[in-house]
Amino acid sequence: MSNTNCTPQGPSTPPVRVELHQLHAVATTIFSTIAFVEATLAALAEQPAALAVGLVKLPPIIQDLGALAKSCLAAAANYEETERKLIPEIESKIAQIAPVAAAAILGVVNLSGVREAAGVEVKRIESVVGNAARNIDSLLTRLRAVGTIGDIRIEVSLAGDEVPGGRPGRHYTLYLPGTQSWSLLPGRSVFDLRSDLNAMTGFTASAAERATREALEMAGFGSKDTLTVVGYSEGALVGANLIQHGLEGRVLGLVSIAAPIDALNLPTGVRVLNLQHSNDPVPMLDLAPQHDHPNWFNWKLEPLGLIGHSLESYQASIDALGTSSLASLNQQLDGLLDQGRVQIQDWSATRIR
Amino acid sequence: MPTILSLATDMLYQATGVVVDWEGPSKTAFERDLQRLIRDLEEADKYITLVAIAELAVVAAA
Repeated sequence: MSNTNCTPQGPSTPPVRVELHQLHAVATTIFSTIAFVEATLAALAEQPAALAVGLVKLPPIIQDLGALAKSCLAAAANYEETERKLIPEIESKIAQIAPVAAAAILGVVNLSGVREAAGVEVKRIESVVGNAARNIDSLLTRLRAVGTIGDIRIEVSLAGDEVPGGRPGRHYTLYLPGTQSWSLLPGRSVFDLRSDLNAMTGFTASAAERATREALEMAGFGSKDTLTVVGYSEGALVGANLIQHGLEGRVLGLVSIAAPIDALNLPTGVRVLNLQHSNDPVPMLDLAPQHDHPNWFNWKLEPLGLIGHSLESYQASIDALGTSSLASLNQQLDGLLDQGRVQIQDWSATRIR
Repeated sequence: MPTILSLATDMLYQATGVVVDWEGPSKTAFERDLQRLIRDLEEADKYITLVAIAELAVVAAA
């Protein structure tokens, strides 16, 4: 077996010579460690003093562990082509530990009962008229913008325009971002770890879900209107919960990227496009097999990197699709998106302390 | 009863056992980083456990 280089101190440091199977073992061990440290934080949710100590002590350790593991994986990415066959082994190992770690975290969270009933406040912060997103690439571009301008984006078809779904009302496209804050303590953003855990456990509607429902209502979404939800990670899970809990208007579809939505039962009339990387541990958190339903379209993307959860990595995988695959993927969006001009609204969504 | 953090620390000890076989100038730095993280985790575990026990004691006494 050939050696590779692992440079945890940065590219200027002379490399370590290491056997690949050792790199494999160290990387997977560090990822498992991170899962256990995160589980500790979840377990302390109802002990505020201990949680406060944990929130001071543990996030820097998680960050350093992540950097150490990533440096090894970056070295792995530099393998010679003949050694690339070993990378799926590492991915497979990570895929094996992810559900176990997820089960541990969820079990602890279920016991500790992370719940919240804090009020939320939504405000429209910007509204412009622009072209509607018409394909998967433009959906991802818009998702990347959400979270930088506001917390929620809603696009509304213009009055009189023909809309998907053939209803007399307007068509709304809702964009929901991934986790913005990794603190369990209630903070500014509703798209945080606290909402994430609530969305996963399903005890109560998360702050993110309540804020999204309120923003939709304030944007005028009503019984004559249609809706398409586009979400990344936590955003897709929140969107799926919103659909499951019911909305006044008709939901046409959900475009879910990198989210653990397989355990949810959505109305059969809702078309689901479920995009997941084969090595992304986050969609495995629900520990459920993928749906086998005519309206539920699962698309496994082949990742270019070793850990494929970032929205950028999904964008890169879609960019790398061949013309026919991309056309096939975009075909799944037929009837879900506006074709003309839309009003693009960005909303802030915060907790009320 | 071991805490979750002590299990995490045990896993890192396993990783240091693998790194021992590595060769090269930055091996020491990698080992040093791992050992520092082990110490940090052990310290965090100690403080969190103490505060958690104290918190439970206060609740029990109330």
